[in-house]
Amino acid sequence: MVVNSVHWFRKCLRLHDNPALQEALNGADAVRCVYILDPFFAGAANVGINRWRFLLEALEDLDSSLKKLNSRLFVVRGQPTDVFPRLFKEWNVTRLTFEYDPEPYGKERDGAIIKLAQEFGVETIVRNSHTLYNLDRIIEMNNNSPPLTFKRFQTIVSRLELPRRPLPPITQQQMDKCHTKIEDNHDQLYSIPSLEELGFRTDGLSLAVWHGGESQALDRLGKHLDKKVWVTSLEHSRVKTCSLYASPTGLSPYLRFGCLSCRVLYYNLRELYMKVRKRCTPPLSLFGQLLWREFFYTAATNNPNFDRMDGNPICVQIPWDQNPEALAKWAEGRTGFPWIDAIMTQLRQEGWIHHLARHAVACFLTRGDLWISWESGMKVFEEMLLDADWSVNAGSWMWLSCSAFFQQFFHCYCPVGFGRRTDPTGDYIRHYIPILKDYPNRYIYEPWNAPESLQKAANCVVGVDYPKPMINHAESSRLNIERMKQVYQQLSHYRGLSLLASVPTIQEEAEPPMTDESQTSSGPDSPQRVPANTEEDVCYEAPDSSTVCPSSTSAPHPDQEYQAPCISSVILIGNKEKRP
Amino acid sequence: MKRGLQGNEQEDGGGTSGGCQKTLKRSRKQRREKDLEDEEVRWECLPQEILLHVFQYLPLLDRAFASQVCRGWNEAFHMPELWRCFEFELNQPASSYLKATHPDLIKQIIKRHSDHLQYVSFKVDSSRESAEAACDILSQLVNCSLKTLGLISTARPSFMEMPKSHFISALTVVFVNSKSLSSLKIDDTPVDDPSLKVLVANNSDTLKLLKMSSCPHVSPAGILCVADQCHGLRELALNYHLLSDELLIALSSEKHVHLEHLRIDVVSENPGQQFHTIKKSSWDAMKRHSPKFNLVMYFYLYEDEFGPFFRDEIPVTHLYFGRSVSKDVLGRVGLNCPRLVELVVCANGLRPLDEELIRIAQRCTQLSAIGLGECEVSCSAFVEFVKMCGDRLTQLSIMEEVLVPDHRYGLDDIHWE
Repeated sequence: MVVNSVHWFRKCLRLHDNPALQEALNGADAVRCVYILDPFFAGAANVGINRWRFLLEALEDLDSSLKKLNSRLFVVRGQPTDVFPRLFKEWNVTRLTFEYDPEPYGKERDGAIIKLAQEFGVETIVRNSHTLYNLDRIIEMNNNSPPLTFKRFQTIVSRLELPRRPLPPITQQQMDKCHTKIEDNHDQLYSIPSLEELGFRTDGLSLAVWHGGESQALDRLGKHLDKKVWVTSLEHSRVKTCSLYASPTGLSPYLRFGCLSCRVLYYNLRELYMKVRKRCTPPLSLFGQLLWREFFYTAATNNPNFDRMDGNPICVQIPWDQNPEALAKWAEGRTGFPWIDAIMTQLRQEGWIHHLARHAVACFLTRGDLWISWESGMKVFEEMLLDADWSVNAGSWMWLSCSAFFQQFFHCYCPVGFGRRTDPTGDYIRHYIPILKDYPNRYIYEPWNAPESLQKAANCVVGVDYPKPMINHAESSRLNIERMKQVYQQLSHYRGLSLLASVPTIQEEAEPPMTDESQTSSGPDSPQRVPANTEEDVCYEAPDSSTVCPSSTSAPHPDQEYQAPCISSVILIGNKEKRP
Repeated sequence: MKRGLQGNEQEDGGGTSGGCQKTLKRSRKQRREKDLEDEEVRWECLPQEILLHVFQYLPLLDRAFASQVCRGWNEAFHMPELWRCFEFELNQPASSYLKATHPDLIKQIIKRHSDHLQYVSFKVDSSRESAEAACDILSQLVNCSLKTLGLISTARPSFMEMPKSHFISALTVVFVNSKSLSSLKIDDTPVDDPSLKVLVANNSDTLKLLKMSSCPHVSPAGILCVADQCHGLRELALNYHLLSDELLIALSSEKHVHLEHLRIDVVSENPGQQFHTIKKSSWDAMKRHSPKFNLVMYFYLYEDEFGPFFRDEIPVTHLYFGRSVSKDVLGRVGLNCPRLVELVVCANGLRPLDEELIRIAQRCTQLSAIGLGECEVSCSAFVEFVKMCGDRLTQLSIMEEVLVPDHRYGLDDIHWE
């Protein structure tokens, strides 16, 4: 029986650690690697030029790697449901392989393709390599629901076996056995489109800071590990290299597109640690970046509404404001706060910003200052941020806006103070907002406070050359804390005075052996435990046992249990990798 | 309903026994059918008290659907007990994602139920129209004797953007007609001294809770009038500029009940603003009169505006710093806030807060909740802190970035400790 394979690249744009591709080659007579893209929709999709460019470079890289193995990449224009029937017939395909996509949209699309393949008598083989673990397994181990706190997630992961070891790259030998003749007209039919073909104007486009592709990724991996050696070997000192600038060892866009295998990174880190520290087990914190990614993927895989507030069971319904004008100012870096504007400028120009920068602008847009929905911010990031994929982007936005995952909302990043503390030199501002470059450090984060003479001397008058601050931060943050408190108090039925206690703690947080006996054994999925209300519950409001406020909850409020004081949860608000 | 015809055996109302005897002579199938019919008939005759109880569990929309089933249920839907409590949600599609209370329903409520309303709140979005709609409704609640009124802006304070006179007149309608207001929440509104006088003139015996943070048109004299007259006041929330020694003394007078919660927002309008001081003796009077009262203070000041604060002992129980606060101030907090129960610091600076934190653990023996945002604390100090007050803490929220590894502990070690 002749085996003609087609391997379908979607993410996982690499030849190393690619189990699905290996399956395509396994015993095949011919293999073709395809990437399907629809130029017609390129303009309509919420994808900016930097992301397209990165993708096209990754495809170029794949193509050139395949060339070295006497093959080519086939970029097919169209939609998968239209393209595959044609290809199945034309190439007499008997086997289709691709990497498992855990995202809800991906699962649906793939379900349809698998069915289609069956109709054509094509065998489909799907392999998991985009995530470290089998996500369904994690969900199963958490009583069939995804962990909603990172702590819980880590606990479960620590009980799993190590991730499957990465596979080596495909070899010349393997390819030789399934040699595919490349037609002369290959470049006409299956070439990688250019940015122009996708409808982008490229005159004046600055050089890419992040270049896509597996080769880049592996090269960076080497450098990343070298740097890690240096950092790890410094015993406990805190390296304050908070570099806001694009790092030559940064890996997140490559993980997102699959140019770098997450398992390769995992095992490299693990082995490095064990070598340098001579200890047996590396702590989970070593894999911070990878585990956060995994956490969000797990939370999203069974939730098609993960990227919105309405109809999303894990998202707190917050009465965000609708204000397109304010949103545009934020997205375009015209807020009048240099720290915010510089970050959004870097994002637009380069496609990557440091995690602390993300916290700053996300907080500013949502719960900190503008009180605009995180969904709007998510869409802007989706367009411009190279490493934003559906699950991680939506999850991060919900996290940073305190809409999910039981986040404490009391700490609000000041658009002036936080910037100043992160980069006291102000050079970051001067780099991305050149018009402010002559401002002294004292005023560069708050140019509106500079005396007029100084503004004139710096050739940048606020209100003329640079916008005035769009809001009063103290006032906005004060209002917003109250709003968040209102929402959370209603959510947790908390009537006391503690700000911290308004955020409900989830039952799953309390894992043995640290629990106290006051917790009933209702299992990890029981509704949120209401925190101890040690204040006198004085309340002259609507009696909520006899009559119920009609427009809110349907059942009378549950009684609050008094719990003996103990540290019910030491919440270390873990943030993502802060040290790049 | 056809079933009704066979139901006249049970006209005495809801009883099940009536039908049972008759079923004995029928076949099993017929008996089952009869039972079903009996059940259906029973629903119609459900006593009003039971219907009321069930309806109370239903959200408004479901209740409205239920009211369309039959006349009996429709009457139940309109029973006064179901209309004591209502939250009007006023949102414009252009400015909010949330749905609004249907205008027809609002009309119905005003027409049929305004006498029944007792606990009312208005949630408005950031548009001026929503705030004005709220005031329009308020103006029509002439027959209402409200016990509770809450005006809540869910986004920007839109009550401040509407014409002040319209707001005041609507509010005055409520004050004058209610005469038994017990709880009033009017934060971020243009309420003024004269309207407070009207409030006091009509509701001084009953007022227990008043929340009016960020009401810029009220003066210290205006709020003093409330404290002087409303001796039942137990909860008060206002801005620091309204706080005075006289106010605290008035709240501690013999005629006054024990105050339970006092919430004060200290907000800086302009950098370098000067704040007045409150004498220690005034706080002492409060403590003597209401030994268990909770003092909640929210600070939104620039670092250099803290001069007048925490110089003397102050009975604050819940303290929140919404902006960056200096080490020095936190040191003073440790010295002067013996009653402190919760401390939340949004941000500090780049120098570790070790000594300050330890001192707070030592001297604030009531501390049960602490939250630290962008601060720095060395791991050793953190461990010591937890050892000192871990047994009384119920909330401990510290951003991971806060902890600085030192020679004794690294971050991972902390997890174990």
